[in-house]
Amino acid sequence: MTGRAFILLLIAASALYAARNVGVGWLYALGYSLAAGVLASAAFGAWTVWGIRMTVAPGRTTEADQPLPVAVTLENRGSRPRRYLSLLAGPLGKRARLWPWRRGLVPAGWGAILIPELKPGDRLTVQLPVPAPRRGLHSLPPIYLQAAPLGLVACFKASPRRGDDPVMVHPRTHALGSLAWLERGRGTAEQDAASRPEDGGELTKSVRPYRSGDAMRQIHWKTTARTGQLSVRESEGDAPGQDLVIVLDPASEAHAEAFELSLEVTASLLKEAHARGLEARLLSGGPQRPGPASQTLRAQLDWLAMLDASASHALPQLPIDGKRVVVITSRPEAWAGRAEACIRVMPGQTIAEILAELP
Amino acid sequence: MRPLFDKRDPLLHLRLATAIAGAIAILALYSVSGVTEEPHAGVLIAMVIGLIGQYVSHRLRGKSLWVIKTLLAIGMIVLLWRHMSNLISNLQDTRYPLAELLLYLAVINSFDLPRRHNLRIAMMVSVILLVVTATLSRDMSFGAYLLAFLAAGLWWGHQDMLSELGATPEQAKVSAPAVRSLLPVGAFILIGGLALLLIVPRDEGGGLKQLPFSTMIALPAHIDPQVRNPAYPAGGSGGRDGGAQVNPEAYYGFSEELDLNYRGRLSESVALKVRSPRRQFWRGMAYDTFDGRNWSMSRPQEVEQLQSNPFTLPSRASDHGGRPEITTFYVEKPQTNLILMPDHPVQLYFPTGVIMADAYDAYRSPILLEEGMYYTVVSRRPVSATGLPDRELPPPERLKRTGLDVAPYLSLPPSFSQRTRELTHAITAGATGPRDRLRRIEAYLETTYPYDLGIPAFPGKADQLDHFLFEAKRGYCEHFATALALMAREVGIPTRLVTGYLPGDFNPFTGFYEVKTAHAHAWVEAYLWGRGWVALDPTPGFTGPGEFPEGLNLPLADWAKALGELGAPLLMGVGAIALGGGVWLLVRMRGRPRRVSEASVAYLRLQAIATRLGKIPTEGLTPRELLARISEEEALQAIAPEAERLITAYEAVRFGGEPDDGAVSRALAELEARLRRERPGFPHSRE
Repeated sequence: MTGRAFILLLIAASALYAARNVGVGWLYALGYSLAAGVLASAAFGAWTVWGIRMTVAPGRTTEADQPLPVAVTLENRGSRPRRYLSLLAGPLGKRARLWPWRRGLVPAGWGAILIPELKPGDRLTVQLPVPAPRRGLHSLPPIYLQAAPLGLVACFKASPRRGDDPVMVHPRTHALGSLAWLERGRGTAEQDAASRPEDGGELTKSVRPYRSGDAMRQIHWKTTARTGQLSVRESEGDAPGQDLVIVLDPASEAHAEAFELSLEVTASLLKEAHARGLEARLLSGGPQRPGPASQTLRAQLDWLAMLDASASHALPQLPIDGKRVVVITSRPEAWAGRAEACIRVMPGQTIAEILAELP
Repeated sequence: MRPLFDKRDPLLHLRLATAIAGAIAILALYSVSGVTEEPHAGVLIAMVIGLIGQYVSHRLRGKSLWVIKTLLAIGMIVLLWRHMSNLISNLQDTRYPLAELLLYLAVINSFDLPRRHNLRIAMMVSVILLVVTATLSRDMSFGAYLLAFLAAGLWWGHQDMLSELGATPEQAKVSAPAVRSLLPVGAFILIGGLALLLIVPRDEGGGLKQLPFSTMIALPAHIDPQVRNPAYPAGGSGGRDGGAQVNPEAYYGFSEELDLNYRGRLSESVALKVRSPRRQFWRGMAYDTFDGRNWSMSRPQEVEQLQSNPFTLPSRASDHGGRPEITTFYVEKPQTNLILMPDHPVQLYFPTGVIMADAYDAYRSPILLEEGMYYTVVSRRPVSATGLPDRELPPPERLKRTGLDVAPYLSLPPSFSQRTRELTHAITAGATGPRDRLRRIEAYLETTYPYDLGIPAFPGKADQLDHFLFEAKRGYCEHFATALALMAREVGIPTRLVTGYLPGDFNPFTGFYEVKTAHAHAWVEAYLWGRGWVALDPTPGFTGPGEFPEGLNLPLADWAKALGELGAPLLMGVGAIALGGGVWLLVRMRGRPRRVSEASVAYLRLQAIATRLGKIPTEGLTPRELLARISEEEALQAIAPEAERLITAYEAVRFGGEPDDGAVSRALAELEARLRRERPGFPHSRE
């Protein structure tokens, strides 16, 4: 029942009380009509929702602040058309539940879609935008089918639950514009190709122990078998500029807002780098959290989505000499000379300001 | 030219619904505003200004309106001041100031409705205004406004729901599915509301704190204490010989004399509307002396002036006990100066500073009761006398010591016949007491003589009672009341003849007893020891004063009559809705594209073929232009002859007014058949 219904019932009660005193028949008629209106809204709302079968497709992934389109299929199993239905979904990551008594038809922060008519026997699939304000791994909330004739009493039913129905919400990414420094060194790839042996092999420059983030293809199996320690080779072909290492300085985690901003910048950079064909690796935190196990974009974004703020302020180990390193940090002075680019993220900055400072 | 409404406003339809509902509520107030101090035109002007305000809110939404808001704030302050002034000068009836406050509040608020919640507040104000208007309404016309408002409210609720769910303007338009979805809801509300009205018993109220009466009226320079009935300037005496003809618009029984030889029917026009917790007689005046033809008062000049409004009325012995009841009388057409009263009045709220009380427990106004006047009486419900002993009256001397001189109420005319006397004693032989004697006389009269309003005038010289009992043997209320009064006096019971009105027809919608002129009536009051003056009605076919069922029962007859009266406004409401729906349908039908004919389907098919085969755009080409393109394009030249036949036939049907005899479809069929022969992969026309 919405606030309007309560007010109408209050007016109806007042009219009936006044009618009792003054004996005016029209006051009785008006009071009973208002009460009958609220009753009608409840009765027809319940009838409208009844007989509709609802199925919800599994969720996928989305970015924070980008609604997740969830396919909902409605089937009218009744013999009469059902009109003015609505589908509602609460935001991901929050305990969203629809209560019978509420202020309005669509609670604040919820997604809704209106279905004007569903004829008997019709099956309709709609994309319901489920709000995703927070990153992380969330369960898809129940989808509600609602009918509220006259906007007075909202009758609803929830979609059948099918387990957790997980949905991954990545940090939000932003368009970065032209990043010349990202493209620097790409031309050397052709030069390097010309300097490669004719048999297509690569000259091994050195062998070193495996570090988290190293590609599987770089594992030097001979050394590994001989020494018993996983080792990787550094090739002549690993020219500076072909690999990009993005480091998320854990000191950014000291401030929650700055931490979220740094995640967005990191995700944006990763997306841009992968889109340009660069091999971008992600590192972060202390030794406990070196980075994602896989360096695919999806794995990196998933890892960022699940990253919690940490009190660790230790500088992560810079992984690879000669690699292009970009650091997202709130203390650029600590990275002087050690990284090609430092993107400073400070509490109070907006994403526009951070992106404007990109080299 | 700039369109009237900005279709980009997502709340456009909700605004229209709010404006319509508000206008209906104000029109309802206008229909009852005749009894207010405000001129009718003011309400209509307010409605127009309100509609203008709604339009201003629509056009200026989203803009900074600090100038308008400042003016509105000033307006609110002025409105509050005006309301307080009105309230103080109308303390006896605050409904009108409240209605005026709500009206101007709705008008002022209409200029500042930028968002949905503002429109919701405006709608609630309209609902409350309608509630207040309902308290002012006194007839069935309010029913039409109520029905119209419910219809508008249905549409408003629908639009409110759609706007909250983010419906597009296309989805919010008036459409057949929307109407189809609302019709059953509306029917449910109508039937459900009516059913609740029918089934739920009504309380008799009594919690009223405000006792309304109309605005105080200035007193005339000279107050005439006599009973004044402008319709009977001769004072109710129609003439000595033969009968006198009644004035249908007024009752002759409200005069200094009551002539039993008046003949004729009284008007069915409504004289009064009475709001009362129960059915009872409305008492006007009483007579104590009968001369064989006329009733009169032996003490007409014995009138006491009462001052100090509200007036505390002289209490009678029977007034003690019983819970208080409040009755309000609304004068619908000019009356005498008699103040009609319910049973056992104790207090009167009347719009003059002075009233007069006569010697017969009747009250008179210093001015004639004009149409539009209303006043309220506080009375006490009579306590049940069941169980009280039926005792004879004490001797007159003892009664005199109590202040009651019963001599005039026991007097008989010289013409009181012997046979009447014998009849009386025969009827009352064996009675156990005065109450029993009265009951026997009453029963005898009710069962022996039929009621007949059409009897001829009695002979002028005859004793009216004797002629009624033994010659005519039929009559109407005055004859029966006279018979009971005089026969009771014969057996020692003081009586007086009372004139007034029957309860009237109860209208369950308005809550009023509608008292018509034809409801004028005469009955008897008999003085019984320990009970005082007790009302009795010996007229057959009429429910006696003490015989009405308790409470506000709603017999089906009242419902049937009221629903019949509701029929007119209901028909008006349904007619208005049907008219509006018809206009809407007409507008829609004019805008709706005509059903595509077969010829047009064939032409469109040709267009599609030309587009597919020639790979040329054909949108927007006239038929002749299409034919020219087909002739020019190498890939289409082969179909040019059939295309020309098709287009020629199409132009004749589409633009030449010729009937479609299938020539266009045949041309298409020939073309498609040839194309299928020449191009095996050519699709069928259904694809």
